Amino acid sequence: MNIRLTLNNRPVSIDVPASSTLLEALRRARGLFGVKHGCETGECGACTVLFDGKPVNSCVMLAAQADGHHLTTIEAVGEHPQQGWRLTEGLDPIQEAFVETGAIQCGYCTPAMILAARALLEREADPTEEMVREALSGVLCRCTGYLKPVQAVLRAAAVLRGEVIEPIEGAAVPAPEVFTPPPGEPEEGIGPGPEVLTRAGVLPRMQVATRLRPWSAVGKPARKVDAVKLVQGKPAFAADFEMRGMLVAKVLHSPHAHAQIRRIDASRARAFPGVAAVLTWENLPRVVYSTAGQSDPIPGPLDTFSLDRKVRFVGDRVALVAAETEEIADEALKLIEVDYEPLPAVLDPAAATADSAPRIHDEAEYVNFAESDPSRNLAARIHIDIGDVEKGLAEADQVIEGEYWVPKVQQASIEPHVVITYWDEDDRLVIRTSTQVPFHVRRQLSPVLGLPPKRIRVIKPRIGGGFGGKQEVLIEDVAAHLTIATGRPVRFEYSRAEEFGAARSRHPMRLRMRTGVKKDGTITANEMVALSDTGAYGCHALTVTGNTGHKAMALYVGDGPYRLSPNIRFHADVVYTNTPPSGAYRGYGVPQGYWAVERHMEKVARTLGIDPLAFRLKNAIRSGELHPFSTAWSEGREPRPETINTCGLEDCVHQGAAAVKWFEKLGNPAWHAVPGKPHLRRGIGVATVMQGTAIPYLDMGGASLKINDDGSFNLLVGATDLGTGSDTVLAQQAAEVLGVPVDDIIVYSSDTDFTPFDKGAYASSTTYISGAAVVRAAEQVAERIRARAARMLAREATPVEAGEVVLGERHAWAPDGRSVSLAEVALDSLHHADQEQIMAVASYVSPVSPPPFAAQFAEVTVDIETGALTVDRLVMAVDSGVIVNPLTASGQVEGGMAQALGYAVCEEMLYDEKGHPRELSFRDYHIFAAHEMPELETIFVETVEPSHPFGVKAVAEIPMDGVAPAVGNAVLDACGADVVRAPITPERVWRALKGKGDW
Amino acid sequence: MTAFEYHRPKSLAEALALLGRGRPLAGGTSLTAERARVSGVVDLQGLSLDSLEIKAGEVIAGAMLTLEAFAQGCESEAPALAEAARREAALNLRNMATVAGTLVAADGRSPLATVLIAAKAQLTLEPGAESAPLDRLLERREAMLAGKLIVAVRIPRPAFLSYLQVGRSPADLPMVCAALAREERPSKWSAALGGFGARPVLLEELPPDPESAGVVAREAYSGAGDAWATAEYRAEVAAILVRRLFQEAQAR
Repeated sequence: MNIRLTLNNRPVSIDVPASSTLLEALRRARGLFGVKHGCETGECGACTVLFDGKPVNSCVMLAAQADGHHLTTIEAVGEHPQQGWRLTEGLDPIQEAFVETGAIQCGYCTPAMILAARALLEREADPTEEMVREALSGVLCRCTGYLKPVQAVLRAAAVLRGEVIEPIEGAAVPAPEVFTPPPGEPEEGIGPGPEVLTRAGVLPRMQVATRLRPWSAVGKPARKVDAVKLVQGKPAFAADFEMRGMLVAKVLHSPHAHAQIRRIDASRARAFPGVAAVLTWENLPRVVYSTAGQSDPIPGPLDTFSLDRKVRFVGDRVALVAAETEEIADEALKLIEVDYEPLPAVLDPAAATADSAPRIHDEAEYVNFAESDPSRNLAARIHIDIGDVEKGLAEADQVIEGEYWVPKVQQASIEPHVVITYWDEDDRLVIRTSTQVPFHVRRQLSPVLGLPPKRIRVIKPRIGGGFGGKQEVLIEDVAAHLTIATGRPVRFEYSRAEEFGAARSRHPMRLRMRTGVKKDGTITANEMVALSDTGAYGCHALTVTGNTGHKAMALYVGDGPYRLSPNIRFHADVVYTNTPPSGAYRGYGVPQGYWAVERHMEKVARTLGIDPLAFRLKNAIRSGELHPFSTAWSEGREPRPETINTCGLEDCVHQGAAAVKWFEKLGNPAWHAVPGKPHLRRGIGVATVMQGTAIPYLDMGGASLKINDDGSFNLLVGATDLGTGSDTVLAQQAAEVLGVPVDDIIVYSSDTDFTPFDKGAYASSTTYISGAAVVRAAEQVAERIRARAARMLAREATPVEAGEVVLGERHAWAPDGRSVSLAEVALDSLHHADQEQIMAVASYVSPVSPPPFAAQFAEVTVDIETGALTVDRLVMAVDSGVIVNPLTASGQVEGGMAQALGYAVCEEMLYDEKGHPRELSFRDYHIFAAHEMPELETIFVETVEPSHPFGVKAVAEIPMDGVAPAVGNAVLDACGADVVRAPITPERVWRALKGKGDW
Repeated sequence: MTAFEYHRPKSLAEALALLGRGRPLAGGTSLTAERARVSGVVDLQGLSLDSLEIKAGEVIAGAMLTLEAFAQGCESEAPALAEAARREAALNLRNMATVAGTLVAADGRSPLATVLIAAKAQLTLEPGAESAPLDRLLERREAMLAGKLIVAVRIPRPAFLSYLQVGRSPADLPMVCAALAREERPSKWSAALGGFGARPVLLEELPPDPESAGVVAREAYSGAGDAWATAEYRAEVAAILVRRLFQEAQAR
């Protein structure tokens, strides 16, 4: 039907089917790709448009409803200030504020937030923070924790009112060595949700390490290199791309948790008009592989086929369809006839290894890794003994035990998994995919598709969040098989229900702790026994669970003689069940471990009557000590000893404790009461944590750097920025070495055809590993610039030694103050004399994985009658080494805390007795929105890690580790309820208070 | 696949005549996701059903009034209604979802339906200007709405109306929620419980003291167990919330 409306101030007419949603009409019929798809039920708001000036979700309205109305999309909001000779009005002040404040991470929800903010500011020039949070409440963001977007809108409002605004520059707000909150800071009235004041400044507080020399790019709040395109909603993401004749793919998912396919008949589906291909297991070569995106050889079992004659969870693949339209593909799915022979299913991990349990993997092609044993549904087993745990327990005055559970939770990036495949003119298969691991996609799919890697090109465009969910070769094969079958381009995008039903998630675990302690609080032995549920396939099974021990059990080594020779045991069984596979999720096993370790350490400290902070610091690892697990285990590789070079944990504890006024609150009955509300109790809790920085001797990143005519540089990296800001911090490191502004570094990431290899974005590694590769490449380029500049300067006067030349301010400087610009150097090298392309490629692999450390504090209010829990405040003090960019780094911490908060209180994926998922939408799987967030604060405690040229350590994953246990400990502090099962729901608090059984 | 039909009638009569051709479409926030399962829709946006009247004795909302317009309009005079609408959904959805559409699509977790059931809201149906109590309509929505259109929601304004909920986070849908209303002359207490099942339940003629009313609420939710919460918990919390609402009413 034909729809007439005013679109971005112009009358237009759109011809679409009557059943088309407004989202489909805008994207497909009008090419307005700034409107994003994140769900189909209106909860995420990525598809926001202004409908007669009000923000609405275009996925839950028909295009026809818009007939006669005014629509505004991000495409009408602002543009790059200079388009060649045409000067424009530039970005809108709201867009400008989002760029400046670091409010953009992946950028997938940014157009929606900007439109929502615009609607607010058009009716309210001077909004309160509460009004801003309410205005943004319809747009879910999984990256930022909303703090910086709220600050951006408040800043834009001030700009629009004509106020003079201070620029965001400098390093950060200094945190004094003995921290005292600024005078006049309101302490009372901290509440949840919209009443929270954004008290923290745009820049985090920092205890800055001494710089050996002043830096111009590193350590500064540089604008993100990708911000300007993202605030404009440019078509940068995998699905924002169209080709003539592109087909739409759909997957038929299993309705059974465990079944054999007796017969499958796709003939009716194939005959349906508009269907291009239907593939079943009978049509594909049988190649066993792993979907875990990891380096070669895969450290886990090979147990997966693109399609199999057996299905192993509700949601497993049965058939693949490609059709001209989505409606036709959906219709075709209904026409595929499948005769299933249901098999007994095992859903409970505790029952999976029983002799009577049905065997999930009985395929002959199964390839074992290490101790995997499919005959017992065992995907992996890990046993690590450090020292002598039995001896340590025998030497203890007291042995304290506990049992803890962590749920299955999902990454829930707002951009779903999405891929486009096509044959190029050389008959090479191009895979344009939203992935964290483009090089692993190419290598791992090669045998599956029957193509050598040289005939596959993987392009990673802009990614709308990943959090580990895209460290998986999850759906690329679907589109690729269909392109091979049809010869045509194919687009495949998961729906939100498919994300919940058939994507990856965090491994749920049961963790048993046993800790021996002396009366003075010395830990003599520490043991963790884990039961980890990998679901139907063993992707990441070994390595995720290995890290549970490797990083969570490494923190507490004990004190005195035990510090020199700790007694630690970690045992894990990783079992198959007939549930959707678990996988990589930010933190990679470590948040699971810290839920148990930090709840348990609280129990130990309280049992002994020792201050929880003092107890932790007494036993925690310190700089100069051996990482206890480094000689025991390394992601399926040979372990090698590692010493902890830097550990800022003690300063983190002091800074965080001062910020939350720990000592004024802990044990203070007046603070714990809520005046006039006898049923409410306040509580405060802490967790201390450590993570790692990349996988030693394994993770490799590469970078290439070349100079252009104008003295700018192309930086090509295989590293994959998921929204974390890694492209920006890599550019900052290159800019620092080359003495140019960050603007002069043009970052491209990534394409297997022309960016150097990088293992991808995982294990908190990019700033450190890929950063070191960038610095090496930049140093080589700088050396050649210095040599040429020295020759150029010598042409006109006294000779200059290359080694004396200094790069800075876009020039190469001789000691006598003369200089040539880098543009002159570039022109000289490319055109004038002894021509050469100044260019370098370098890579880096680290012998160590220096751990970041953090102290996470939480304040809560508990309703002791209903068990209702409100988290009021989260403060995290982090030692991530030197902070390359305080804006992007604090954004990582705030966003991580928000994500971890969901896992602490409301996120959980459960299945009924037939294995059907309970959560298939954001209505049931609730993630935090802007108007219900607690106060968030980040404090950085810098150390200088000697193994990196700028002293950095990781920041990305550690914010996931401490929130849930700190909240659990705060609940315990508030009301004595010891909730051992996350998430801490109202009923679990209530049951703990009533002494009723666990539920 | 048959062609999906979209109609936008300009009059009520035209709309009623088209009901055989498709489902009534309000804001679309629930129905759009179901579009593959319906033959067509009759979009009611052209019928001018988006008025709001706040009178001394009742609030009359047009069926097509958006939740956000309803919330803003009720803000100063009927804050409990504004709060219920705001808790129903986030802003973007409230800008499209309508009062009647939300009620027709409501399950037990709907804050708006819970508050409106406690207030004994009536839906005005055409043809015939019939009046249907909300709680009865939600019980038999298919049958009562066949061949009918909701044109307005009439919400009595009790002397006291308030709402409480317990959820996993401040903006999560409720695990348990309760609304309490007190009518004057003669004084009558009624409550609605939500957070469970296909619709909120109405508790009429409550005993006029917090403890006894709590006992009624506990009884009403004694079987309200599902995968999200046990009946034991919901019953206990329902009693607590109703008791607290009573105390709030008595303190006014």
